[in-house]
Amino acid sequence: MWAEATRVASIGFAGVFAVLVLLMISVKIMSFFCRFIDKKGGKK
Amino acid sequence: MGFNVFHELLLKTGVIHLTVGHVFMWFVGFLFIFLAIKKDFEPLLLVPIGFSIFLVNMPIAPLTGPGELINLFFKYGLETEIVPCLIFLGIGALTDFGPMIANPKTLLLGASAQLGVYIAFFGSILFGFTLKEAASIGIIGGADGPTTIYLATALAPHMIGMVAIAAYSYMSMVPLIQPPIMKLLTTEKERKIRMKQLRPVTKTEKIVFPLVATVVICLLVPDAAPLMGLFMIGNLFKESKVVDRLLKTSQNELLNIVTIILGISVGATMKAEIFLKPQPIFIFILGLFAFAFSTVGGVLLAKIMNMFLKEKINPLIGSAGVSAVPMAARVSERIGAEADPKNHLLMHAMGPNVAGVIGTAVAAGMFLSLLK
Repeated sequence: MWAEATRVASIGFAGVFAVLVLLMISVKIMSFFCRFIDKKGGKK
Repeated sequence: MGFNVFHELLLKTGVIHLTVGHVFMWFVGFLFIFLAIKKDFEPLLLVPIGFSIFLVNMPIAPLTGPGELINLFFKYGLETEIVPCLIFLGIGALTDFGPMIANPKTLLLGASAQLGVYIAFFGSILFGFTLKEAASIGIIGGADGPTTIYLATALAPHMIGMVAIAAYSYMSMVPLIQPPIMKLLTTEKERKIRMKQLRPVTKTEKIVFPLVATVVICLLVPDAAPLMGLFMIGNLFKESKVVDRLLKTSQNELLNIVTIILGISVGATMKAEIFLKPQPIFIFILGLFAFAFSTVGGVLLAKIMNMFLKEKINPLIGSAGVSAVPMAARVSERIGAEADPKNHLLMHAMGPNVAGVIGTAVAAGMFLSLLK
């Protein structure tokens, strides 16, 4: 039981962090491209 | 003859079936209604929950048996997980991700504030709960009612009422629970840290965000897709600015209807024969632990991040990583203003606050994928 609980908790918490870190990176990339496109659109 | 008629009449009423447990539960129901009306504690939920507790503790009333009214609400609304997901649609339609997009680092605070979920998970096992029950109790630490109900429905349906009520009770008590922990973990100097004003977020970023977030989250944690998918659809309604009718329905009528069904269904699980056992007391204690440690997780990660960041963040915004939106962010603002009245943290705290909603849904998705 405790071994299974430790497995669930460690994978779970690491998973939450991994997903949110990847989301953070994705948001940074998304912002870069969106602002780039908006700037180009503004110039035209 | 007269006595027989009276006796038969009496048997048809609930009076003869009334127990001390039923009356006790009436007081519990009354307490919820009192807290909602007099103290303004989550009134939209506690009023229907409180009244439903009253109602289902009327002996022999045909309400919760197979095919009866509240049983049907529960069966088609909660057991199918439709209601928590539709609530997420409404919340998505009300959420502004701007502060989080402007400062994506705050997503990390939303992750660290799930610490309490896992601490309470271990604590629950210590109290003798099964893994699935422990996960349903631990998720209270995420401070997100619909996610708590969503997970409990899938893993421990017999505990929905208890965990939902613990979650909503603690969410309404955020202004009481969090401040002492925040003050304990931060110095006066840290509480005075001023953060740079957030940059403006473009409309394009706000429109693209729900699509990006759906791809990232649903690909990595497919079990979080029902919650996150509807959360992001709701947000796209808001940011696209072209589906005003759908937006208004999501924010108002739909959200209100599902809130009524949710409140009545959750309250209906609080029958005397189920509630008056030691289990709910343990759940309330563990829920408090979960909530407290989630606050600790958020504040501590903010302090750790400050060791590496050039532009320091005020660690008080870390506590807003628990999802209770926007109450947790308001608490950060209030405690920050106590240290420096000219320091406004509300918008900075909204970033971790909405990140916390995502973090809790992801944590629930991880539990589902590992335990279902």
